Amino acid sequence: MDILAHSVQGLGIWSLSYKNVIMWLLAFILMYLAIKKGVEPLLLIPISFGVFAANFPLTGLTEPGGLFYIFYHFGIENELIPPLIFLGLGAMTDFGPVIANPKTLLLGAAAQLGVYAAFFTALIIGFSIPEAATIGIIGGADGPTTIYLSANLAPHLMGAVSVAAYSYMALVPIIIPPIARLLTTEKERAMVMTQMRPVSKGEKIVFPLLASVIIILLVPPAAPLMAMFMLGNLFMESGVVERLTNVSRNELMNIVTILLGVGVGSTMSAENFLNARTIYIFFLGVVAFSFATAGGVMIAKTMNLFTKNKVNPLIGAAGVSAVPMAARVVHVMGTQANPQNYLLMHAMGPNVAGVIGTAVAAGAFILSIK
Amino acid sequence: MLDWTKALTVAVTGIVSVFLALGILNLAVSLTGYLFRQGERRQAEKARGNC
Repeated sequence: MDILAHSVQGLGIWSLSYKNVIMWLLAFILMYLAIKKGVEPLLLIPISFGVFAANFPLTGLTEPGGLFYIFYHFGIENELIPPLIFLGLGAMTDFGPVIANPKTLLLGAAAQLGVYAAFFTALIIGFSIPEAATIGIIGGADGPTTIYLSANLAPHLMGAVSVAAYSYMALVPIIIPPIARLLTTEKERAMVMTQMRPVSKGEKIVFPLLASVIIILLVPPAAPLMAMFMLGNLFMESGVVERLTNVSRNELMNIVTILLGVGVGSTMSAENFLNARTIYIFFLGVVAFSFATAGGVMIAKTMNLFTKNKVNPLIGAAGVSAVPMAARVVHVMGTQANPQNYLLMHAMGPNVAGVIGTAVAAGAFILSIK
Repeated sequence: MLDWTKALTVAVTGIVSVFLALGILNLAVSLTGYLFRQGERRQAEKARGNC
């Protein structure tokens, strides 16, 4: 009889609260967005299921020793998974457009202004410096970097900032066009850029080494992300380790994406997520993305005042990482202004430069705050 | 009470780091590209001379 009573008492249903149910609803919304609307499904499905499963009572999944705890503690808190994602990204990234037109690196840097705009807005709202930095990095539109910085500075915000980052990345086609249109004239958008020079294999092999030396020496805390990003790229460009390239961008990337998504989702408990700060974070995400887009466009326009080979200012908007969606959006805008315009490869320059810029910004935050 | 001096330092350090890192990379990539193109040109001239 005692055993029966104990078993009945142990049923999860007695401990279920309305907060758990709200978190399930949130998980279902994220699943709906991922499955029906195609919003970053590779990440949002594991994240939303992580939220769903972590909000069952009495499972112990997120307590020390629990499965999700292990994913989170060993994979994310120990900063293992984001650099592994960067390895895969490196093995997929073609730096050719950046090498052909290196000044696009400055457009990638300019787009980071959104990070600092959101940083100050978050401080004004009342967040602490580490929290504001974590929120600001949403403007980099780079999920793994956001998670990496959050693990370093504000782990309690990880769920909210990562969902905000991935959601806004999917909203790039809605956020970029009005801002870019507001800051450019029809004539500027119609500007045709000269064809890029071909880039040799040697240059592509030297680039990851050069980038590692410069960035890691200047901002050492960016090393875990940068080193793995450039290693993945070296795998690909060397052309002699096809197996490693393929495993980095396929199998390994897929495995760590599952662990990352579930680990992040599991941090979204009702206590952590259901508060006014989460709403502020989503609001600040828009601030960050908007200023990032504006920063890229304005610096492109400023560069045109001083350089001979002018760039179409629209490509500055692609400095908001979100590879390759931001570049595609810019390309479509350019084609709308002038059907002869082909901006895709030109926009890929600031786009991949934005990934490097965001990693540097994250490293700089860790350097000056931690 | 928020330490605004620290906040400002964090932001300035960050902005300077980002522009410095990517600015130097810009120069380094431009220089390497130039050296590679010079090397290729020299090789092409040598090959033409051998013909």
